[in-house]
Amino acid sequence: MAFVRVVVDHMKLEYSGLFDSKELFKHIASFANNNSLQKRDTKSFEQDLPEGKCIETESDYWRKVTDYARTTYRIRILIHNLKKVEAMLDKKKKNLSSGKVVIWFDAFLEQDYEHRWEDVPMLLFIRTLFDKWLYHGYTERFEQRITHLTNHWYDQTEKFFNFYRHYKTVSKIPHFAH
Amino acid sequence: MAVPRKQWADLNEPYVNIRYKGVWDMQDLYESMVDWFLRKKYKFYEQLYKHKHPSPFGVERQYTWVAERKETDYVMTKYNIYYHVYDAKDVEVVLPSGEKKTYTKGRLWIELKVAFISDWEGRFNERLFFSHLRDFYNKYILRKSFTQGWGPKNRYEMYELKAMIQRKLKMEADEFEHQHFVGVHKRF
Repeated sequence: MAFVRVVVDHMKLEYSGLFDSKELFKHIASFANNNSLQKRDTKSFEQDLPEGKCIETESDYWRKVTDYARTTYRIRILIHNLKKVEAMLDKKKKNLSSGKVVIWFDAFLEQDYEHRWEDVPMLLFIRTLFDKWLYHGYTERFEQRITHLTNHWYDQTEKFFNFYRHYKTVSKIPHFAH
Repeated sequence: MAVPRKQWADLNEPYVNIRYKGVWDMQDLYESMVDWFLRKKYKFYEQLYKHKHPSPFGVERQYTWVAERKETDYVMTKYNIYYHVYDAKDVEVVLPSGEKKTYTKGRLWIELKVAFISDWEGRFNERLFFSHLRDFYNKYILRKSFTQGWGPKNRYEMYELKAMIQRKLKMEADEFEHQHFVGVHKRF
């Protein structure tokens, strides 16, 4: 089994109010596309309830950094009580949505994703040796990249919802990643 | 002790699950999905159609579909689709144009799976030596074509189908940003 290291664990973004739901999904997907991430959709659920629509989607976005390491970003979007409303924008009527949105960001570093270094215990030992000590610098750099991109993605999503925000580049790996 | 070498296993792309509860046009959805496969030159088979005895909540139906396309003499793409409708009831809907239509109200679960099958004719199965040759061919000669060619191509084609289903169900997340991801000059 490939070695998976959790780098960003359940970073949560909550929003309640008016937004364009179709644009939200487009925004998330276009960010991934612009950063050359490949997509894997796992869940796409929608329920039309009397109190509003209830939506759950989960997608994994990934990129092969080398032929040994792969970065994966998991985005889970939960929307409750989604209702269509009409709003005036620049003196024009626009169809928007109103509801509560929760977005979870997770990010992982997957090493030896082609399972080449795990057939024999000796190979596994060498792999661990290389990951932890010899190539520790590379591993750390990949983790920094993951942290940076996830925080940037989070910030861009905050920007989409028009939050009050103050962004500064975050690349520090959280303590639990080690 | 010698460790047995792993034989090549064809890659299976991760599945897509769509669940929906609400009102939809079943006839249109059914026809659009079949049409999508026929337009892409797939051979389409409805392997199972199960209509269960209606309960007080509504009708339950199950469909199992298989679609196949022979890409080359060696590679074949195969879709497996499982389609389950629960608590379905027919409802009359008045469209904005004033036209009346019969839609379905209930719950829906669609599972899409895509895979490519190498050596679909089974030519390399005759002898053990041939099977080792196939293993070598897949692992070292065609590996890049599988992992960077057929794999992503099938995956994004499946997402195209998924986006079409979501559009037909009028779901919110019906975007398909990656439609030009594989580029214009398609080799696969």
